[in-house]
Amino acid sequence: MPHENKDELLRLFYHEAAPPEEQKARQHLAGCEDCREYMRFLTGMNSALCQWQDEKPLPDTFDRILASIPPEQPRAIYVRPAISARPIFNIAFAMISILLLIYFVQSQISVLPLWQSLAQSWVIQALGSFGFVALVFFGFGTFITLSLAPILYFDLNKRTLHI
Amino acid sequence: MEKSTDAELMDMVIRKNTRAYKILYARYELRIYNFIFRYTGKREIAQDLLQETFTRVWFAAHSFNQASGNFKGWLYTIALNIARNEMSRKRYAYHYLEVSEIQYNNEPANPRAEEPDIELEHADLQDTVAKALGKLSPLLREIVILKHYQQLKFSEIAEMTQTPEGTLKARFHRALAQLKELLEPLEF
Repeated sequence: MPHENKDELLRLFYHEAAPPEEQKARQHLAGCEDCREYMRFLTGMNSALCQWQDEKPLPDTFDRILASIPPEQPRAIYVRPAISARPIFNIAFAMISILLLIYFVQSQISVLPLWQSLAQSWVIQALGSFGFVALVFFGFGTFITLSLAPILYFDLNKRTLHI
Repeated sequence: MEKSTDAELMDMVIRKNTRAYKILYARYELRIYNFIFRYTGKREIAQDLLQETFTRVWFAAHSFNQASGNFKGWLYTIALNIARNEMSRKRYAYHYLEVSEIQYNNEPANPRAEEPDIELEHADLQDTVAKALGKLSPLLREIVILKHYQQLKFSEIAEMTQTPEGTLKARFHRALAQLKELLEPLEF
């Protein structure tokens, strides 16, 4: 053990050294007055610090801890039915609403004077007025969804991280 | 249940078993209370922080790493963080514990003792040591308390405080050197 290594003396003093290490340190101590002096210093400090003895906390502390813990609320258990018709009704309702909306829009634009010239184009010839309005609707819907997707995605991740 | 290990009891605490929680409390209340009391120097704060530590154990039980099974280290880490937060508040930010702030048991344990002088002398010694510890910086005080009073190994303290062992030992040497100067009149 190097003469000046006080860390080894600490390990020896607090019984944290492995047996061979401890034996080596004790051999060194036998012939080194400086290290023996340091061990005496550690012993002295140890007995000085021991003057401050442990105290007990108030006896009702645990009761107060328990009182500060809110009682466990029984969780409402949601039993999911094996088959649910609700999503099917929701989807059917949404589809009918969209189809009615498309029908309404196409009936309105077909009376516009501009429509007479547009009706000659090959797209409307191929799809019909209903198909054309449906295409515009879904195209617009796709555009909005793709535009908002990155914002929604990053916002959702950010909220998840905060939790 | 009394013979169960800390990790086994924690497993029960996760399932909200108050009996297991009480056993864990009984095992560690003295250590944690005295750790916080010596660290903050105030009995009322130690009482409150002991309560806060164990309340946090209850609510954060699910975050205890069952695989490591080191409940003692986990508990001390919670207590240390709570005590450090308390000490880092504004009122403590610019000075170490004032000597007058430290509360200590000034009264002899048994006033009717046959040797009241010895009791009084002991109270004085305790007072001197408490004041000397209070004059150390929080980091130095922390290592002395964890090493000497709590009897933790340097490796355990290093894991808890995320500090290299060498640094902790250097701090401990420095703390003892300062304490030696502060306790010089006692001639230990």
